[in-house]
Amino acid sequence: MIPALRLVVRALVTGPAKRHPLRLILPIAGVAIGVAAIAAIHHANRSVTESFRQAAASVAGRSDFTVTGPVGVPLEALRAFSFLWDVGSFAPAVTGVVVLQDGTGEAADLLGVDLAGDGAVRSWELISAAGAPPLLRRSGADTVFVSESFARRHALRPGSPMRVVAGGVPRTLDVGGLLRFSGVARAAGEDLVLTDLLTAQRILGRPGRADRVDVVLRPGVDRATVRRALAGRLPAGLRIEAPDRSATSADRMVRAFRFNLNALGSLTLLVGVFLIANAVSISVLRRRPEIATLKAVGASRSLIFAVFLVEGAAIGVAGTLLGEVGGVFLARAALRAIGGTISNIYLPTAKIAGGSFASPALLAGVVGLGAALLATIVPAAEATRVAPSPAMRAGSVEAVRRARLAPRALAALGALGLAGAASRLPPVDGFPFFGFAAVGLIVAALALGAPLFVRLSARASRRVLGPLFGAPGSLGAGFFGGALARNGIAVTALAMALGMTLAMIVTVASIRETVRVWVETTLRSDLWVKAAAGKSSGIVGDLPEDVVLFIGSLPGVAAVDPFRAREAAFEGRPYTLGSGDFRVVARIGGLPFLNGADPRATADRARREDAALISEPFARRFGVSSGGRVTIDTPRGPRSFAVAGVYRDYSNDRGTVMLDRELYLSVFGDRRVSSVAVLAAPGVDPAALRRSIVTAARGRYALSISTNRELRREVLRIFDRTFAVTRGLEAIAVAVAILGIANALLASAVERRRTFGLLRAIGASRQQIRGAVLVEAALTGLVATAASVAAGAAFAYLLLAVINPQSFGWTVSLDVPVGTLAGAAALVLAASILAGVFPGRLAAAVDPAAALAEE
Amino acid sequence: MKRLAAGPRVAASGLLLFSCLLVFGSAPAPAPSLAFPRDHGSHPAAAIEWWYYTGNLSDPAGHPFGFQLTFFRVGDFALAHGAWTDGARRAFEFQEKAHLILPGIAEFAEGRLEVSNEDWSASARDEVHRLRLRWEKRAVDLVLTAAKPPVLQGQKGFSRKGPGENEYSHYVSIPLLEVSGTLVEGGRRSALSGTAWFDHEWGPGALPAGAAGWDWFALQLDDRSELMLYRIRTKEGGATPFSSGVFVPPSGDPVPLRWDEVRFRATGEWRSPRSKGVYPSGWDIALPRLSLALRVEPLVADQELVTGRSTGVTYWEGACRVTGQRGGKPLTGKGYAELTGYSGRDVPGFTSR
Repeated sequence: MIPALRLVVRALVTGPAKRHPLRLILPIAGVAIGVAAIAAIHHANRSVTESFRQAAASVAGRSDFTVTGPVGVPLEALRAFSFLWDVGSFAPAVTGVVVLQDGTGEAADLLGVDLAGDGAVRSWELISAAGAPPLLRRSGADTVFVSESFARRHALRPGSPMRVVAGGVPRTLDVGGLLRFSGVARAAGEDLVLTDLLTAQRILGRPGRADRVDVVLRPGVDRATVRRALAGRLPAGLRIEAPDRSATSADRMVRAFRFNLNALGSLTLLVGVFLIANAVSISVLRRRPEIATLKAVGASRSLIFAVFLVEGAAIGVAGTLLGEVGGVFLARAALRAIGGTISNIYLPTAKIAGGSFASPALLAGVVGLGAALLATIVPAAEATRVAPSPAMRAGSVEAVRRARLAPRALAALGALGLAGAASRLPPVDGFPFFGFAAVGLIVAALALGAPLFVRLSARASRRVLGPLFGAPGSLGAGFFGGALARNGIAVTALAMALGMTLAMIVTVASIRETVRVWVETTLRSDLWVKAAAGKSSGIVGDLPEDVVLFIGSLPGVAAVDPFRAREAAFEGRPYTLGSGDFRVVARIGGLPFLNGADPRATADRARREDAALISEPFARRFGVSSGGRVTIDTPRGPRSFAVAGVYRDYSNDRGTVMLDRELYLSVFGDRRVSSVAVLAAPGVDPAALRRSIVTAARGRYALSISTNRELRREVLRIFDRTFAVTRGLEAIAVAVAILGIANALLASAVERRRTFGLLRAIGASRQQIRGAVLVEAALTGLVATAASVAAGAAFAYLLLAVINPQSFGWTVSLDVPVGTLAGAAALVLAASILAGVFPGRLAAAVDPAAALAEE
Repeated sequence: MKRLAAGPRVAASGLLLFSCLLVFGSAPAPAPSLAFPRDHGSHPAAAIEWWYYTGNLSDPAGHPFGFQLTFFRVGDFALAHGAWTDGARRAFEFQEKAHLILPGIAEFAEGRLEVSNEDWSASARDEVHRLRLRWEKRAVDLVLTAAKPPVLQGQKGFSRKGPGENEYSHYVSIPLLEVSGTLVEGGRRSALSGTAWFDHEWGPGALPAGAAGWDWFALQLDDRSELMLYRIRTKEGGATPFSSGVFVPPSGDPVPLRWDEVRFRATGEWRSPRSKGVYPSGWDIALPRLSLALRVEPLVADQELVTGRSTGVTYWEGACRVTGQRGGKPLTGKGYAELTGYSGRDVPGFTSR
């Protein structure tokens, strides 16, 4: 058996491969690109998760659990913990953000701890210090400790001043020494600014509270018992959590974003899979006579099957190896892009460091090889069914195919039906798995239906193309319809890639237009003031309340609307708790409600009735609607609020609950603000007003002020940057698919040597042959484009109406950018005709005498 | 202080922790008069403050033990030292704690004696003090009943340590507390009884310029008299003029002592294997004015504390046995001695942990 296999492999695989190496290159490249994309995206995603975990670990240390509260943990509440000294220890920490004013504009996490007594919880040590005993330094000294690499990056030394914005106020901190974290927190600790708890409270403007208390128990102590005992002693409003919950919630925050990237990476690989199927299927077709001969001399079905599987595996292995190498490079670029998006939009202080490449490489390798084998199974099985005698004659294949078109059409319809059903199913754990399943089913329907489209369109086109282009026209149409299997796969691959691209174009355009309109409606203020945020475009840190009074009292200011947003959690799922002055909304409107309710009246009612307004993503994620109730964790325990309205919000996909500022203050006592919207008095130029605010605030507050127009532009800029990665992946998928067309045509050109020779012999000119191949290429492109429009419409529907609302919770109004779509389709069509140029030349170059001699 | 001692010890830490000094430099005006229990409580306006318990105990089998429990407040920080001497096993163990002053972690009440650091605490109601000490393998709970009224050291509790403006402390001692309590060690519980000394001192915390360290003694004699002495050593080895002491007779008013009326001689020395410091070990102390002649011997030679994590000061503080005579009558006693500035390691070591 083994020597026989070797013999057959040489006859069917290695021999032809040596003769036509080009034919292998395309499927290998297809797999390689898919594998590289998957490895890179997986690597980036894992790095993100790992960075979050490490950042959380640098704060959580060795803790067994962590206690937090809606507005942190009041220091007096620490007395409830004192029984823990008999079984372990606990350490409060204050966490916040400072923005460096040193040209880097970086934001860094500030961690304030009991420096002298923190050793039991977090693993850090001071490695060099300025002056004397840093740990007992007076808390008023604004002394901080940073890692060596942090100090290097920001040109700091022990004893040097570090200029930052903390809590909206410019400050000069004193670098008291260098520190080093150890253990799991080592990497993330590099980016922390460590200081004394009281110093942190003061510079962040949060006296009297810690943000978390970490509990470490001695070995052998029963955690559950202690946890229960602690829960029984904690004041209302405080809760016990797993220490790494912040990592989990950060991860959840970006999960939808990462999930979409994964889906796109898979799409690229899917295109690669079709290319492999294409290549192996061409091999089978080409070698029918050889297969028949081998069978006639006694080769078994399983031997034939094994041989083609070997071919698929070889393509898979080669492509996977190449892809892994490419993946390493692609991963770097992807990490930069994804890390940038995350620190820009989600977490300003997030530093995403590249993690190990082992697991992504393994995953991509397994997927790549598996996909290659999977793609080989169908054509290989087909090869086993080749009958010894009729197959020795060319041209009988398509008869077999034709006979099986009807069941395929039925299967395609079935897949479409299933896709329709899947699109109606709700998300699983907040994620649109069924939506993506529906996308997969559409792809399957496309693959099953493609030969049918090819035949129907070949038939139809022959009538048109014959009269139009003469012999090349009808010849090309004949070629197109004749190579049903091969062209079916090429059409599928291109239609899938192009369809997804068209769908993404529609989706992105629709979301962008929706956001643009929303921004126009919502942003009614003239200026928007936040704490100076360095290079980050989001809100970093917060502002003291007196800034509201300060701005409100400046000449030229008509009204100020203080906005507060903070992270909150409901049943372990993060959302944003916000507050604003509902009187301002009641006066100027600008909050678009889902049901079209009048914003002024709704805001006024919410204010009078102590009710909440919730954002659309919140309503979807938590299944709450207008007239329902939301439960919020408050410092005095959970409290339920009526929901007065659901408003559109595209600024965050976690969901937001808004309370009137007065109500918020009475419930939470948290007087700091995240940003302040400013209305200029009539006739006052916003730009001039900004200048006067900046001048008046100098030395007192460090502010970042945007005008209305800048903010609108900024929103769209962030939006475009977020989708830049998506666009890059689409381009790759389309490029791979076009290569697939070239591959199919090239295979045809080689396979039809005899036909071309015959045609030349009976008088066809070279131009006519070339024209016929170009017509076939154009037909492939055209049919694929037509199919992609249908598939793209289905994909767009799934993305906009199923996947997007389920993963982001946004209602998006459809916007079809006809021009862009037509441009993309035309580009693909042109590219597919171009893909016929080289095969056409090859076909035209066939020497009739030699080709006929082969017969 | 411990005379200065304690004082100094703290003062020393304070000095060495010069940032604390610089920061907390402004001292309260000397209080006109002290009142209790108010002044057993914390005085947050003072830069440095400590509560100091030392005592000699024994179990029903007669095994001797010594304990030290000290709570320091240095600015926003709370430090604590706890030491246990086992005379029968000739063993000594100490632990230290350091924290920011925070509720439930380390606290100093005002208006009454109630201090804690993690699971160590001291509190007093009327004459009764309660101490709680926990080591990894040992738990000690003590009830101390003051058998004598507080002694106000120096001028009505205002105790000069040097000529400088900030070289003073407020200093109150309780010279005799009767102790009963329990020791749980290795799963065995035993009763404890004995006597203890209490010091409470607060002030700006500056150690006089030129001082090299101090020696402090608190001795409880079996005729119910107590002797406290401290010597602030100059770099040359002599005593500064601010060295002094007090003798508390069995009844009646305490008698202030000047150092120049003390005859003081070390009888031996002990070399620390850890710090390499060479400490005096054993003393002959005579006070001709009181017809008092005493020999003081450490219960265990090694009672050295290397406090890297908290104050950063290395010192010797240990239980001692006393023999001697007063007015020709033989007597015995117990006490504690504190020796600083011998290790050359008074400079705090906690620039790195």
